[in-house]
Amino acid sequence: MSTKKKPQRGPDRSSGRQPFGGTQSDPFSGLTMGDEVPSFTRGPIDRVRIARYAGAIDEYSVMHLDDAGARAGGMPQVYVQPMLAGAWCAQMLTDWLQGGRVVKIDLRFVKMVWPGDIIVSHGRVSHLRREAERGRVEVDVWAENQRGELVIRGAALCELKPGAVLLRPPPPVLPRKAPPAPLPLAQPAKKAAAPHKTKPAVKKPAAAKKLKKHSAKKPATKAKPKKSKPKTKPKTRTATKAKPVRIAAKRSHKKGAKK
Amino acid sequence: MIERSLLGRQTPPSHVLVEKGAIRRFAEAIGESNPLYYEESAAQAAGFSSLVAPPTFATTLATTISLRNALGVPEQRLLLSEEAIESQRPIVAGDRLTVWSRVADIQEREAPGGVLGVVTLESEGHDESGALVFKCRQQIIVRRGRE
Repeated sequence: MSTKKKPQRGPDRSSGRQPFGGTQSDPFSGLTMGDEVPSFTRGPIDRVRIARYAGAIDEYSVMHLDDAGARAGGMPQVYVQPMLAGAWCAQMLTDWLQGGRVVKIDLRFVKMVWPGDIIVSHGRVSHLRREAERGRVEVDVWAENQRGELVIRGAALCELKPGAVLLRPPPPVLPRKAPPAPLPLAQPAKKAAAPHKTKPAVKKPAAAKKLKKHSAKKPATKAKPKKSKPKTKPKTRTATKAKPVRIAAKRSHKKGAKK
Repeated sequence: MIERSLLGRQTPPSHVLVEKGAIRRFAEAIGESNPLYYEESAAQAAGFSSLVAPPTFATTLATTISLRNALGVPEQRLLLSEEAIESQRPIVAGDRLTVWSRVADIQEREAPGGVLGVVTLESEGHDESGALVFKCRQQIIVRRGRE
């Protein structure tokens, strides 16, 4: 739909993402604790999206639909229904689950979401459970806006479909040939420092950086999220899957030169 | 002040038919493109009797509006701070559900920055056999008005 700018869709098998490679006999589809859900970006949110959501839930508060009413109600302008962003956290999971389902989702709305915001949802497996022969995973879920601010924090319980092949987030894109003359990349330089603290930041921005290199510098209005630095990380990095290559690639990516 | 006598108030049960059009409109509103939410043939091929609802669709069935109105606070001062949804099974078009909501908790606060209180509303939906299908819990902040 024309009103939606969605640069990032759900599972995209053509992008070379690696599957977790579950088998029918593994109810957890190859998942382990600490595994990450491919991040999921939506936005910028426009007034039509807000209006559609209001119609879909049959609730028409001036706080979401009328700026004058919103100001009279104490806000600088209309704000976005929190569960619209919440629906995207859930959508990140349903796309990832490939036929599994979200059993429970519990979301806390940490910061307001405004028109024009881009929302990037993230998830990380926190527990695996077996219930009635089905694999279930608990997933920490969080979402950030384009300023890297945490807007939603929560958790979900997902039921896995036996035999589903779940996708990992993509590894950072490495240039296959000599990159063009590097553009000044002040932002990526800052961002590249972040992954050491915040693992989930690795994926989306890496792809976005590649785009940035090969095109003229554009303002980051499309879904290129700021490097995520959530104020409260749901979980510290666990070392279940050492990914030194990824971090090394991150560094080289920043400089664009050495491997 | 939030009307404390509301604590425990429950709406009468309402009977809801989950409609295909409502599912499609919700899916479209959140930007979903999964055919399970739009095409009955796709949903049936996946083993459902009709269109499946996205996981947060249950919030459209939760009948909290009368309780929110009963708080005695203009809607402009209500701010959703937390939402939890739990379902026992996917919700599907054609489901006939009985839904009710209740005021589960009222916490009054004298917080600087204008928070008067926090209200927790819980909703549940049961199918025709009485089995629980979904539960929602909303935590709503009541902001102080400009006085």
